[in-house]
Amino acid sequence: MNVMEFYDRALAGKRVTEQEFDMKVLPAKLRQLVKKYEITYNPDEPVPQDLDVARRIFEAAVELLVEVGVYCRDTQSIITIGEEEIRTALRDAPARHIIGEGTEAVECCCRGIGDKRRPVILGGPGGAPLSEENYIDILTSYARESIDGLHTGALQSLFDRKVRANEPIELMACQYEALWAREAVRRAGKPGMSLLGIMSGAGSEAQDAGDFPGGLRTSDMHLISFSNELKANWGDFKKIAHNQNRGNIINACCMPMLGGYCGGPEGTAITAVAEVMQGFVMTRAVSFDMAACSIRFGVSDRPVIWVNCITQLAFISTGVEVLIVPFIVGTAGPCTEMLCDEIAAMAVAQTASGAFSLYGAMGSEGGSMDYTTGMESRILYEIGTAAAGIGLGEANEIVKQLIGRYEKMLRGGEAPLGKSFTQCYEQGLTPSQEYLNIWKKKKKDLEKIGLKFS
Amino acid sequence: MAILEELTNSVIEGDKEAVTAAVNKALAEKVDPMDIIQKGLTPGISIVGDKFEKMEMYLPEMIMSAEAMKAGVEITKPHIKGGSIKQEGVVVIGTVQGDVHDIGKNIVAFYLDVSGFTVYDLGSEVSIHTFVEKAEEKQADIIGISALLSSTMTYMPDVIQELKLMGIRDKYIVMLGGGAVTPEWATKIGADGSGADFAEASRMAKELIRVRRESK
Repeated sequence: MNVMEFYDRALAGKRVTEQEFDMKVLPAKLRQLVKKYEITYNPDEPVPQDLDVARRIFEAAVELLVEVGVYCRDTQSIITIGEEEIRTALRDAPARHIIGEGTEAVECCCRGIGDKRRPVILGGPGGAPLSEENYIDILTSYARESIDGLHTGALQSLFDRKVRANEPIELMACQYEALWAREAVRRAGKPGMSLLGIMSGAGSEAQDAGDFPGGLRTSDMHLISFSNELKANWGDFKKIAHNQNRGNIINACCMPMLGGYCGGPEGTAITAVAEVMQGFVMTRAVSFDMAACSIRFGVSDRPVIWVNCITQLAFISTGVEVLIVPFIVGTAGPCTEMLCDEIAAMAVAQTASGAFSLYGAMGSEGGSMDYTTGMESRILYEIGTAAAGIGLGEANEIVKQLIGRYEKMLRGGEAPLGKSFTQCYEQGLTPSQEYLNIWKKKKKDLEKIGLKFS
Repeated sequence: MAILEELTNSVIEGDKEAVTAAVNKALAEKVDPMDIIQKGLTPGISIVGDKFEKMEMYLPEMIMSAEAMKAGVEITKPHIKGGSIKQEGVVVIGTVQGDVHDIGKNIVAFYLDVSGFTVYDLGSEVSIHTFVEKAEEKQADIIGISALLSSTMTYMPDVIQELKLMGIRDKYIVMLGGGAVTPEWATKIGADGSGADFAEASRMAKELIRVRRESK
């Protein structure tokens, strides 16, 4: 469907205040759907075991999107979406797609439950704040690893000027992000590698300005991120129009918040699946980034792992082939054992649940400047490779043990900050011996609980 | 007293009708209206708040509990003779200009409201001047500024600078929040505090107001 159609629907849609939508319309419908479709979350199964629940979540999500619609923040109105439109968009979404160019071109294709093929690794800081001083070095540290695409970071300053939203500096930072990310993959000897951005600005004009000769190419992944929950705004419409008309690869995104408007794990799972549908219907995306997140305990929390896995399984179990990328984001920082355990829990759970790709990995919840390194992508790649072929049952046992190692620290607010890039990569672009030793030790631990590293 | 326990439980269950009925029953039984609020309704919302912090209850349930409690307070208020309901303070809060990400700010605003603050939520993309104007207009104790993005976080110092230029910086407690904000950043730009989430924000807001009131 054309973006103009949604524009018309937003203009003509039923008016509802945002507070009414957030606080009443959405929660009331979710309560009803959780009951009607008998959706239950079992804390003993962070990796879901019951595919019937996944199938019911899919149908509940269709009903949610049809009955509640998408909220347009600029018109304070509801954009309606029909059931047939959802099913058609999902049918039309590609099950495989090529990102990048030349020898770095990579085919992304749907995986199944317990698939023996390793997931594609979309490495990088994933929008984490980076200093301009270390920007190229940090991205190069990722590009040198065994990754298939590079998700850029957010520049904090440009030529010593703070990046500020909606000011000219924001647009220039977005352009330099694209330039310097391209330089990073070139330095790593992988000039054709797909980038994923833009992360240094929020405005649509600034993000779209990353497309220019020497910046993002049509073969790179272009992010269109919707607001929580089930929302869109004019900025999103502009990005959709720009990216569709330029022939860019679109990567839609949303981060449903567990504990927020959609309530607990059950309501969040329905919302997450509905938001994937929203992304494919509204943007004609090639893939969708899904990163449900707890409003208190981040992405590696037990119920959040369940939500992100069952989102994959909702589509796989109903035979709908779409490319959904889970964010692998830890709360602990780089160079800590806890971050290794968090990455392992999320990566094993997602790989077994059929994710075609893994994003990241990121530490420190992607929040502290320069607390992100290529080593996290190395860890993610090795775990994703080791976890390929593991079924849901075995994965659940492994993941429960891993969660048990960090859950108390995570929920107690005791996750260690870890070390910054310059502390972790003391000698140029090589990880410090300390970090390598931590990972070596953790690999031995992971082997004891069932992972086999080559 | 059984009726107070019933009130507490009805608030926890978010049952507005049950709270209304129980308050009317308590008033008919000549229960002290202050006891209805302080020993019946308030303990209920405190328990809900604790459960929300532990993620044993979620925002939609807390909204229902808060609405049930508010309904009970509204019925009780006209019957209060002497004494007053505890008021934690007045907060103006918003997401700073350029930033549309407001779910975290909304949760903090809502949680401060159920924790006893009077909250004026200015919404998202709030200009520097609006923060200051509304704080003056509402005679706020706290100005709460939220930003998810690092590119909008850079507007936070402007609010503090504006307060300084107007010579009213010391009138207000300035608190920061949002994904991009760290305690180090809050200290660096001269804010009074920051909260990693709604629970920490509420605790810090109460503490900062207590310290300020004691120092006067």
